[in-house]
Amino acid sequence: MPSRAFVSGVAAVALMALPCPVFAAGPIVFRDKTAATGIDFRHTTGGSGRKYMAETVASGLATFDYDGDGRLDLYLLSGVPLEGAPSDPRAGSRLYRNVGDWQFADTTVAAGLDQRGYALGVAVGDYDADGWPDVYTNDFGPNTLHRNNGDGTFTDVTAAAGVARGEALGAGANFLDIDGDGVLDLFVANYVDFRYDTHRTSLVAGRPDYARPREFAPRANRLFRGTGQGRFDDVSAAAGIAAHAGAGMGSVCFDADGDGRTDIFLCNDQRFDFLFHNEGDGSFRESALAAGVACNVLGAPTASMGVDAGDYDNDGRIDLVVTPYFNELPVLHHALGGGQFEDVAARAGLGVRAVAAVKWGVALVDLDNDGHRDIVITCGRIYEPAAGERSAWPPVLFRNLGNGRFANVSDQAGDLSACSGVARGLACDDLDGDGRVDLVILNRDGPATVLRNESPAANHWVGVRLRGKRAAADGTGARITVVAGDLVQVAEVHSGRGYQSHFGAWPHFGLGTHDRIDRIEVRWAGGTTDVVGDVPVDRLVTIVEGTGPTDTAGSTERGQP
Amino acid sequence: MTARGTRTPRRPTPPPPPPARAAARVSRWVVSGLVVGTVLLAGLGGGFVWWRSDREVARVLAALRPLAAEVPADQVERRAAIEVADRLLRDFPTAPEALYARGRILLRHGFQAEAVKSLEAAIALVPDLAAAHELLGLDALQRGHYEAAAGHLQRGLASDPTLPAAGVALGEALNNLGRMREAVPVLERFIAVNPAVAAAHFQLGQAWSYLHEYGRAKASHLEALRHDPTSGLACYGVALACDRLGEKEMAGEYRRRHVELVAADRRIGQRRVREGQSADEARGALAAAYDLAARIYAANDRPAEAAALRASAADPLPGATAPPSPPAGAGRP
Repeated sequence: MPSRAFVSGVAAVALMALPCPVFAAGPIVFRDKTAATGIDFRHTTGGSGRKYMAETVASGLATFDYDGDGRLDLYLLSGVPLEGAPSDPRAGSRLYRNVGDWQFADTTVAAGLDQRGYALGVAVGDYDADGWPDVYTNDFGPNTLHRNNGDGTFTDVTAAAGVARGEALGAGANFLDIDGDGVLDLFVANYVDFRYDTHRTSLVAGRPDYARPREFAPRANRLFRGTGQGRFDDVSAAAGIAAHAGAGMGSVCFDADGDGRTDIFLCNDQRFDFLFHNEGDGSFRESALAAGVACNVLGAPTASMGVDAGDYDNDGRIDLVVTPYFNELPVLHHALGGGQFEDVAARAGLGVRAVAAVKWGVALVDLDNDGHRDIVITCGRIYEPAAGERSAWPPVLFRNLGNGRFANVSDQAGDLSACSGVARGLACDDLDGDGRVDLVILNRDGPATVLRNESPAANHWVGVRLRGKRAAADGTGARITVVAGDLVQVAEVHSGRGYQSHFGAWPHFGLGTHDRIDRIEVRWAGGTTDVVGDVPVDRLVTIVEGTGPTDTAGSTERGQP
Repeated sequence: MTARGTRTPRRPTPPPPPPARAAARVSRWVVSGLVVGTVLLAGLGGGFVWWRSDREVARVLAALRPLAAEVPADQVERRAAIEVADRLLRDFPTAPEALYARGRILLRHGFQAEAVKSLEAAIALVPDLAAAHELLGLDALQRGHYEAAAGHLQRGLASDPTLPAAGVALGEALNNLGRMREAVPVLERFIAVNPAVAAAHFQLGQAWSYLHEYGRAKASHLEALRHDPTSGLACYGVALACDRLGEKEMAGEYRRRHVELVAADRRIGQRRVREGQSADEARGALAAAYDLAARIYAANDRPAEAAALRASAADPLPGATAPPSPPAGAGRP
């Protein structure tokens, strides 16, 4: 498609940023705000003691603005009682509306999201291009698509959309735009072929425990093509997706080789990971081994759980970070260009105090706004602990040193190291609009953890919210380049990332001491490009396809959709 | 990184069946002053060592406890091993070589936490007890505590440069910590003495690869394959190096071999827990425990017990015809 450049200076001097303080590399500090938030959610695996496989992988979570008030809300997934477990009327996923000042109100029932599915993974995307984010959950059992009505409520449109798809044990999910036509498509990952009638356990220390994933056959994944008429067609076979079965877990859709088309990376548990390369004709070619992302640097297929995609070294290429099992280093696939990657985790310092735990949620996000993306990882055990062992682990925080290496600063990050849990999902977003990315952790069979980022606010930042016209309405698949002096950063808009979670739909860029942004360039998934020049900092900027910025709300004031 | 589940080039078995060399090494302190030590311990009992110990030593020693009730009754081998370990603790509660032996036995049979306590207690008494540092380092490496592993292994090697497994393990720990420039000389020293250990060549290949010395990386991985042709991971190392060197055909060939070997490796699904062991392996492990204990008793002038333990070592599982049950899932997260 022809490229169309749009250059706009932001005229309003009133929007100029405040004077820039001298940069100081302060610590990254989190405070546990959970008790003060009003969030009374408690995740359940719905276990009955029979050790069903589904319990091990529950659950992810989502942060997104469902009511258009400019504040990011929380959708916390949960299981429900499994066969043999007593009923629990409170069990289930919960929606919490962010009402400001770190208060969250449970609006699950009022919003119509009080589903009783066994929710494992989630993706948020505006599949019907009406300006309101819709929610797809990947369950153990039929999956669900909830259409956002734009009035604070949702309607279950699963049947009409044709995306329920049976009784599989689900995993991650992603909206993506396969062909840049502006209509969102849907990738749905599956784990293993666990059903009640295939249930089995392992005997460990004389007692039954969860079976190992390789004791079940892997399940193929699904790809649905959006028709633009509110329906999806299952193109899994035709697109070449169904031909590959791993034991899918977290997934992320990103442009792996810079060809402008969105590819799909899928973690597989104890098997080679998949990279479905978008061939541009509606089909995908599994190319993980050739690309160097099928396994870690040793050549070993890891027990990959979660994945995030981002440019950690600001070389303009999107890298991948993958969270594997205990005694396996996190995997950091550094993009070399041309669709090739190299695992540099050890060289980057990710082997420091991040290996002993089972790792799940993961995010590449700039937590101190220094212009370099840091790494957060959540951890938690799967199996019953033996005497002297523990199930709960604190998160791990790697600070990006800006030289290709990371430092484990978990113990110097305020309350972070005290927040032990049997964690699964992780979402990272700016919940209070103060320009610092906060954390929400979903803990298996426990309450969620909400951590406010209280790092020194010396550095500048910008958030970018996209509104597509011909491209996907929520900007999914767009690539954003922010240029501030000599600091050049790229990010993509993802739907679904981390461990079966969704967050960061408004990409956040730390700017260090740069108090002006020279330009923001958006390459939409359809191939068109917009460039916005001279952008003020410390605010969320909304860029509308083809028309430039319409809203550059400050840190305490956010625009409506 | 320990690539459990796929076939890493074989690492030398941690300290091989202990007694002969290891016990001598372990007991360097004891052997050199065996008579004095035995007399002192016999004459003054544990009180002498307790008197010498600081509060930390006392705390560590106090934490040691019998484990007899910890194992399911059907696991004959583990129960027998624990009985040996508990007996060592009962008879020599403050003898460093006995604490080391106990830690070694417990570690081999899956009681990691108690094993570490025992080894730390031994080190609290003899800070440069090389073999204990080696075992603690290997355990830390296995658990992904690379800094701790490197620390113990370096201390162990400083006390005894001939430790059998410490060199390659230290190289691996340093690689995983991103300290490849330190890993290279450690591994080269190890290889100079142990040229046929595939794991050492593999780790050296990893270090060179991390350092972008792809020609050397390729050579090291090929050497690893020469000593262990079944290593899929070494094939992957060769493939990656060839990729970087622009040798696409060779890269493709080794990538194919990598996939074939990984796919054929039945251990992939077993990475999370030891699936069990053969009766022979069980007997061997238990025999080693008896033999090690026998040496402790012999060194402490208790020949009758030593002889009985040696007899047990000769037939460690009398009457056992079937493999014992899989050991408990120690270390399974």
